[in-house]
Formats: sequence, C-alpha cells, structure tokens
Amino acid sequence: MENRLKELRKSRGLNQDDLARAVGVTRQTVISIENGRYIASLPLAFKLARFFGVSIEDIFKEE
Amino acid sequence: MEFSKRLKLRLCFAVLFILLGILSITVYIFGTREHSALITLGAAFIVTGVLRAVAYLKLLGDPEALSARETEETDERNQSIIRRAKSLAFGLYTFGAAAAVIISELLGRSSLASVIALNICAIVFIYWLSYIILQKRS
Repeated sequence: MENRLKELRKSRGLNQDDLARAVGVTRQTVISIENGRYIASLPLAFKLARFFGVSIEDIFKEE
Repeated sequence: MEFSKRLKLRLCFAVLFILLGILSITVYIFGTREHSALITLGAAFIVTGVLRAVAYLKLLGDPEALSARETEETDERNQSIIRRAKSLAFGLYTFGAAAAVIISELLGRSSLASVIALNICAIVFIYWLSYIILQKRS
C-alpha cells in the first residue's frame, strides 16, 4: 500500500516526532508507515486523515 | 482503563511483591529455618517490588514521562510486533518441544517424552480454548 504521509508531513513543515505526538504513536511507527513497512490500522488512518484535514484515500492508496 | 489508573494498579502489585518478600523472609526467620531458599526468594521479591514501585511512582509524578510511556505501551506497531513475537515464540516452542519428544523417545527416555508431549497437548488445548473465546468475543 502506497502513502503520501511523508509528502503531507513535509508540506505542513512537521518532523516525524511532531506528527507522532499529534496522533499518539511513536516516531518509529511514523517512520515505518512512511517507508511502507507498516500499514496503519483503520483508527490510526482516521487520526492521520483528521489531523491533515484530508480523506483517508488522500493519504493511502492501493498499489 | 486510563493509563494512570493502570499504572496505579501495577503499583499495587509492586507493593504486593514487597509484602510477599517480607512474608517469605518472616516465615524463614520464625519457622524451622530449613528452607534457606525462602531468604533468596524473599529478597528477590522485595528488590523487584521496590524497583518497580520506584519506577511507577516516578512516572506518576512526571506527566510528560507518563505520556511518553503511554504512547510507547499503546503504540499499535509495538502491539503488533509483540503479537507477532508471541506467535513466533509459540510456533518455535511447539516445534522444538515436538523434536524433543522424538529425541527423548529415541534415547529411551519415554517418561520424559510423555511429559513434554503432555506439555504440547496442554499448550495446544489452551490455544484452542483461547481461540474459541476470542472468536466469540469479536
């Protein structure tokens, strides 16, 4: 599954730690999601979408 | 349950550890003094309890550290890794124990083989039971 998390985070001028704190996960989780090594759960996907003010589909898409 | 409440519960368990340690040493001192292992056991319980209690009290007094610890413990990727590690440990243990049964039997240690085999059966039974309960709950 591809995602635009890194792109969205950078566009908001945030670092991985800021984003991790904002959605209540560790920095390692943000890194893993950005690198495509870990697929976020539905609740986390919702949190990320809400945080960035976009839809889940705007962040994640099937390859 | 709220994380600070969970931590307070853990603190209670740490105090229980200390009390068990004191009880163990008391039983040795006022008992027949035959089982010196009670002293070691008691000391281990007390040290573990004190260390844990101190760590929990420190966390409860520092909201920032508490929040960081909560994030670490509830992080979904960590939870997923823990689940996968447990699953892997279960599989490896079961296969290792099965191999131990065969080797024990080949070496003529039938009673040992039976004990290990029963152990595997118990674990598989517990797994099956847990699966049924979790399946009904979800």
